[in-house]
Amino acid sequence: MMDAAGRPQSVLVLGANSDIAAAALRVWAKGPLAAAYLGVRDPADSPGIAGELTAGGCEVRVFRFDAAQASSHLPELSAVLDRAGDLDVGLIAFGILGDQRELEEDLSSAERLMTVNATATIVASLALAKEMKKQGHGVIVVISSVAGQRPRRDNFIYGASKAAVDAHGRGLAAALEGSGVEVVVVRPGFVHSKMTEGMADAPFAVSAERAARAIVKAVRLRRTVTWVPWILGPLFAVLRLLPEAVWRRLAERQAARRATG
Amino acid sequence: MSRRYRMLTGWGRTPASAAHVHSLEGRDEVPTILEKASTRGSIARGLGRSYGDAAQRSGGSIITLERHRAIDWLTDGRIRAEAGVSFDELIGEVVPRGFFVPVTPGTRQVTIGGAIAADIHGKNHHRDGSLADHLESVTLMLPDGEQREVSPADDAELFWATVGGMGLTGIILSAVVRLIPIETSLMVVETRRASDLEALMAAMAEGDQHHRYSVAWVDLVATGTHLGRGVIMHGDHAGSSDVTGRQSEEPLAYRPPKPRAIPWAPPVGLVNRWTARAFNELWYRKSPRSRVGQLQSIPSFFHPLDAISNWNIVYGPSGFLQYQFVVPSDASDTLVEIARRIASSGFPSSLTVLKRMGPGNDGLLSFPLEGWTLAVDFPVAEGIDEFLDRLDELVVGAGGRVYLAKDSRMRPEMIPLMYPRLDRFAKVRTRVDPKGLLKSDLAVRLQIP
Repeated sequence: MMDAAGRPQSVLVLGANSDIAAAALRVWAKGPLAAAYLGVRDPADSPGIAGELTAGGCEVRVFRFDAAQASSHLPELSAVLDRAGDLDVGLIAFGILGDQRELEEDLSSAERLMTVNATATIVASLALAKEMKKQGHGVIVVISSVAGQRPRRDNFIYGASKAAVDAHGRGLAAALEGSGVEVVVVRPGFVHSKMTEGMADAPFAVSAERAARAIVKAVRLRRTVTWVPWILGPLFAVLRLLPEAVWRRLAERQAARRATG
Repeated sequence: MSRRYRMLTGWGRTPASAAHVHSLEGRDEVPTILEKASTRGSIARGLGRSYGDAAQRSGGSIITLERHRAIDWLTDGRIRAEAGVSFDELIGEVVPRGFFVPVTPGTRQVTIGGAIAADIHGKNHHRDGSLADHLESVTLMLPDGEQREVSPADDAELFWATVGGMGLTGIILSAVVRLIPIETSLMVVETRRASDLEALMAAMAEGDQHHRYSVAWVDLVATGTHLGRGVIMHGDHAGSSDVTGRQSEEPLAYRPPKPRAIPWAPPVGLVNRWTARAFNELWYRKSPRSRVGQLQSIPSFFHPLDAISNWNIVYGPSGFLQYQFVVPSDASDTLVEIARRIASSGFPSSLTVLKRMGPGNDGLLSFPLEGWTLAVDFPVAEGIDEFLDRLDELVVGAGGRVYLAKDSRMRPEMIPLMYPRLDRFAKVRTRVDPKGLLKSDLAVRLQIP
């Protein structure tokens, strides 16, 4: 059971190799965390965090969950959920960024990105919701992005996938009202992680640890939408209102600045 | 059988969970309800005044006894009260007839069932012990449907597992309570200020020898030389000779004020370092340096917070928690150390209560033990969890414990250290509830067997 300070005793993470997920697990492990179920694409490549958690006395189970083949891996997820007992938090942390120009050329990689980021996140969250509804409590965390807030020339396919996650997450939160299950939609800006390695910083960039702390806090507060950092909330409230032409020029200039580093 | 799926929290308004809430009609419904919810479990709930998740069972069943509120008078100042009777109703019934409840908590908004399950104590613990010490018997519906009247003489082990047992040994249906006689409905109160914790504790220990009731409010925001300054209140039931004028015409008149409600929930918590400091400063200054012989009503002496029915919402949407622990008399230095840590932690404590406890009873999970108990309210904030984990270690190190009825955040490994009779409790549970049909979120979270 989650305690009053929002500390979970059991968590399930899909995409446990993600830097943000590992950082969040590290925070939770300081509390009474007793069980962690870690879904990864390739269980042979056991996530480093698994060893850390085990060393801290937490019971860890690593299982295979390849988001690119989500539909064929759902039974495995269901089996894990069945055996897991109560689950306080389900964190869906997998995702791919892709390169916009490549995605426009290589349609199969565009399809793969949509499958991983959007389809797999949506079906996995539905599977978690179904299970958590029976237990009458639990928090599902999905990771959206500011990229999903207003499409930009240089990342709109990724943005489209995150817009889907965002809309789904907030809709699911509404659907689960009164069931005891909450959904937390996290909207990070630029996060320093494996996913963004080698890329130039965008404004308001944060570390994976900072993003993880924001997730932990949102879980404690059961806050449906969380911007990371928070300043992006008021900022996008304004950016959303800009005329399209102005927004495009702004996005273009930003992209050019980052390209020249 | 009426049944609703509802979101529930404790008084601290921390994590809600959903459950099927059954308002029990016939006692014979109990086994069916328990069986239906066998995978998740069931627990009884009174008025929801436990601070944490003691009366929650997520995804399972909650049994309320709001339709079971009969009070029957027996001989010799004893009553049989059904579990759903609140202390508000009970006090209203017994005071005009010249009796008082043997133990009352700081609020009248708890049920007899809940009070027994938590083995509550009051301002007279140093003299009269806890509620269990005044029970002749408890009638219990065991999970298998058998109805049993247990007492310290008849199945003592089950009796002492049930009192303080957090509802895990069966559904408490009713109890026979020994009342205490009173001549008037008023209290004679003595109030004294103390400028630091040491003076406060000394004054309390001294006054406890002469008075039936005692409690101290402590300022744990002030640091330095003011650390632990406070106000001690000692009280006794006023005899008929203490009362004059109009009050002597109706010495047993009991008219509790109608509670007021805060009309809207503030969107953010109103308790922070600054408001807590102001509140504590004000309370200290408005209290008399020393005053004797003041007459107070029962509600204003025992239940001042009941004046506002929903004061818990001032902590905002994150909610709050109460940290109540007890340490043995010889560990008063631990108490001082904890007070010092709280004051310097920056976590605001708006309301802190100190009390001396008398010897504990045979309750397997009962909280009281001879020593000092401190109850501190904190808004839930980042870092409070780890801070309190450290305090738990000090409490355990001193041979003390944290009160389960207040808990919402302890680590499970603390429980066997704080409650050394846990294995005996587990044995009773295996005997009366082998299928584990009774379960609460608290029991699951703390791994209480």
